[in-house]
Amino acid sequence: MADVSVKKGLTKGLIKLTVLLGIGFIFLFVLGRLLPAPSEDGYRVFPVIGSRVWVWIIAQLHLNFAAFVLGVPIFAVSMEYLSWRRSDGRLDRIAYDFTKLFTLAYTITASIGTILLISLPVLYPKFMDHMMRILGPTWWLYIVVMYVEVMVCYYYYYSWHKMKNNKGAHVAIGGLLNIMGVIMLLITSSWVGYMTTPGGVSETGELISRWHAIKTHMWIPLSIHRLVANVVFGAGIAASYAAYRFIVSETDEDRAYYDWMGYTSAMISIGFSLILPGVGYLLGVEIYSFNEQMGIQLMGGFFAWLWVMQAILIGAILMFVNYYLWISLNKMPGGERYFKYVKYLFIVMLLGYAVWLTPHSIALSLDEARKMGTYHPVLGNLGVMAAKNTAVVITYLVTFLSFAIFKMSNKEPVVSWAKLGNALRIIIVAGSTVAVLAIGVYSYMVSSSVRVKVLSPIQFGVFFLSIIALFILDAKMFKNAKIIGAPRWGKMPERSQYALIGITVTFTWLMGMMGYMRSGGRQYWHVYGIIKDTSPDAFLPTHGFAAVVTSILTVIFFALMGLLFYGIMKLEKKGGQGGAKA
Amino acid sequence: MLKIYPVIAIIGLVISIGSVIRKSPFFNFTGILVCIYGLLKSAEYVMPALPSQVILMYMAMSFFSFFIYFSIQEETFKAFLEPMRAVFADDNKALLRVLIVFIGLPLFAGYLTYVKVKPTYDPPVSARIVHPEPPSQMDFRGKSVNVLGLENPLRKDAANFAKYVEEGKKIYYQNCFFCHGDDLDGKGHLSQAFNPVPLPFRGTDTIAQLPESFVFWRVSKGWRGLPAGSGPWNSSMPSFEDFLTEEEVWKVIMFIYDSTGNKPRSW
Amino acid sequence: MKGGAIKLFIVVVGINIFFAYIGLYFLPQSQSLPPKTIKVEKGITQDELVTLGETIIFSKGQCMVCHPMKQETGMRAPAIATIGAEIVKSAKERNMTPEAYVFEALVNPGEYVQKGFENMMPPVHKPPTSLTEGELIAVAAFLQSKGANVTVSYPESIPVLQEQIKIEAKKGGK
Repeated sequence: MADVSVKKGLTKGLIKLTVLLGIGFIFLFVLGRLLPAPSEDGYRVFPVIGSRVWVWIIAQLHLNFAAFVLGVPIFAVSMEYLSWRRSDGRLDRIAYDFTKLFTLAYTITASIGTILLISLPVLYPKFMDHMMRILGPTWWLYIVVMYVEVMVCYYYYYSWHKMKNNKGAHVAIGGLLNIMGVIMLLITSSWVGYMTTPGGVSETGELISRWHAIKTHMWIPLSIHRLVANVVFGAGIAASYAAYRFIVSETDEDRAYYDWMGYTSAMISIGFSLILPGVGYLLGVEIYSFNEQMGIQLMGGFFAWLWVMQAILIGAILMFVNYYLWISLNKMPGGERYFKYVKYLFIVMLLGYAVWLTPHSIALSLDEARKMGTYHPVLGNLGVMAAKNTAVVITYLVTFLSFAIFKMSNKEPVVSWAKLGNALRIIIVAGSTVAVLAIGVYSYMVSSSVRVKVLSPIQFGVFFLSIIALFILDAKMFKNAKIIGAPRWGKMPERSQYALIGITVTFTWLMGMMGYMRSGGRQYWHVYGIIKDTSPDAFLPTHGFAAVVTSILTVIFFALMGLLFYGIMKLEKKGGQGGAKA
Repeated sequence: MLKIYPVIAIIGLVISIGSVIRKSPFFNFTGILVCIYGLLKSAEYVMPALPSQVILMYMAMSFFSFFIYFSIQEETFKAFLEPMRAVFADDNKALLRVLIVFIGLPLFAGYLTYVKVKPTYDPPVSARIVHPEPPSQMDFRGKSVNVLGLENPLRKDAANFAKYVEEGKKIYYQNCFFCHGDDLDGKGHLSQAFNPVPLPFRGTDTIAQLPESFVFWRVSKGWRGLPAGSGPWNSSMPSFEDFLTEEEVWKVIMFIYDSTGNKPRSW
Repeated sequence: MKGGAIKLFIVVVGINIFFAYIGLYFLPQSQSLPPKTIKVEKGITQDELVTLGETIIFSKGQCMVCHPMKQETGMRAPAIATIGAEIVKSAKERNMTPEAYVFEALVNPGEYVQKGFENMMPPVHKPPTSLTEGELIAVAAFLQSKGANVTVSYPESIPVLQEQIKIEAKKGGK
């Protein structure tokens, strides 16, 4: 594969993209002619599953792949940059592996995008007309940027070995790739932002200011949220790729490399996910400031139970991560010294998880409802935001401690103040835990606006301060530390790799569900308050139905991913670019 | 009544402790889960019982988490799987295997199916608000009364307090006693004829939680005054404005508070 | 390792089935249907208006998203149960008829906000709620019935309502 010259690669990319776009437009033209005219209020119906489910699945799949191809380059380039500064061959290899992944994923992304491009105008002609009228120019800009992005991406990939001696320039190309990616993200976010929190149009949907239609309430927060989530997601997929390769690999050398790759990717993923609550908070604030009603509907109305689902999922993700880190202690020489702490971390984790998934109002049987009313007198208290925020901060803290323990498990500090340092660490951990708990208890006593606007940010602030303090402390304390033994990469039981896969699957599912909620928050509107959805699908389905669709599309996504992984392995074998070479 | 759930919790704990000593993680796991189940269920002795759905959720979470926990270390995990491996691979345990596969599992599946399809006779859920918000205005025999901030006019006349209570007692025994009982505990002669049964005045969760204005409204208007959410059809309280004067209602209210030792809510 | 890929895929499918199972059997199942426009006929009685208003505040109006029925701590917006009395009180304070005040509170809610609450209510005659005139009058009737005498009626109250809508529209133009 890498033998292909840069020029050939670029031409191939150009042709692929043009052919796909061409197919898209031809289909649009032909289908527009062949199909019966849309119904009076502007809809065509997709056979069997209905237009909504079809577009739902295709759009979410496209979004998943897009998230992947936009998210992975960010840390692929960061890795390459690091490898260039430190001349570390292993980092270069991992960066190249990432690049291979997303370059190949482009084709699938574009293909699904083409299906979406055909589906939307055919099934929802009136709505798309409106979108084109309001945001049309951004669409043409989008195509231009897409071409540039694909060209840069292919160039970046195919020139990897050619530009070995010119790493600086190559990293710069990677930077350009990411800038293009961010622009694409901004454009697509503006579309979704307009649909959910429209602006710049009159009440009847006439364009007043195109810039205001782009720069809606949701635009920037949504873009940031997606950007961060893309990195988390991309790294998660990379981790599951590593897990897959780990499980199917036949040599110890391969296993060692993929173990390390899985670990690195998973840690990038979890590290970035720490920012997500904060970014999500910003997004929530913007939705509230656009329309209080929509905000409350999303947070506590029809969707209230999906937040419980979200708690179950995030709790599972954190459990998987901690599990992975705890198992990893097995491969660290000296790691066995720390197993005794795992017990306590586990108990805290369990309690935090329990609090987090306690629902506020509970679906009761009649008998139960007779005895207590809708809210359980004790559990009801655990179901509110004050308790949940506290629980999530504590579980995050535990996760960080698991990570810290893993990092230091094969080291012995040599600095003279090691004892003091340990005492300091205990003080920081205990202090921040007490502070977080105290704030949590206090937030029961204040009004909701104080809780949301003042106390929650403080809680997260305390958490971030303490992990930064711990980070610095550990860095100083374990400087030049005595190393008991190098980590035995590859000496991992297989089940740890399933935990990695579990993280990614759960995260993908979560992404699908949150996407549904964001989209469902519009209720029976295509463009909230501007264009009403009058199709037969205007209702919100049951949570069960939504969960089934999300599961189906997640499985489809992973099947496609599996094909991609398989394709990469085939190519490697053919090109003699064996994974074991590094 | 035998308290079964704490016993289950203790049994679980014993299994768990015993298996720690015997170094058998699998039974430790089982013991912990049994113990947690027992504890969650015993919560009903100190507070309203936990809803079954929440218990299911907690149990699923515990199962998942503890399974994970016991698979962290290689040796523990091996020991954890040992009993299962023994059952399914040991030649001597063929009988046990047959029992589990051909009798245990089918019975279990049958039980689940039975629970699922067993008909229940619960009436449809309607959460009834027993003490709804009263209107801020009401008519008493055609006279408009502000319920919001309404106070018992007779309480100001502290000198005659005992007299009013005594008169209230008479009214009570002429009108209320048949349902609400001689002891004001809601167990009057006719009480068992009603569903729901008349509320008691003793204890801290009925009139002790209510301001006098509420009681006045409730006594005067009876079932007819209840909003739809409180199911007027589910109350047999008559509208006493048809039988008593305003003053008489206040007197009987003073009597029920005084004789049960409760104080009207004033906040 | 042979068969690893298949095992992995089974794990993926298994996790997804598990999540779908939670969604199907763990979460409450209800659909959220788009509201239907309610036609208010001429000469409707006040009692009928009140009943209609009650349906609207629970469905199309989505009032219950913020307004609780009963007083509770930490509520976002005034409770409905005693709101009729509040209307009379506030209308007196501001020298308006209760009728005009209740319409102002619906179509121009930012004009006067009850003490202790934030200004966060959208005008409900505009999208996305888009209550019609008849529906607004029904809601007003229901609110008044919560502790005061109902004074609005259909179609007699339409001019008062339109006046408030006009005031709101002017404010928006500024």
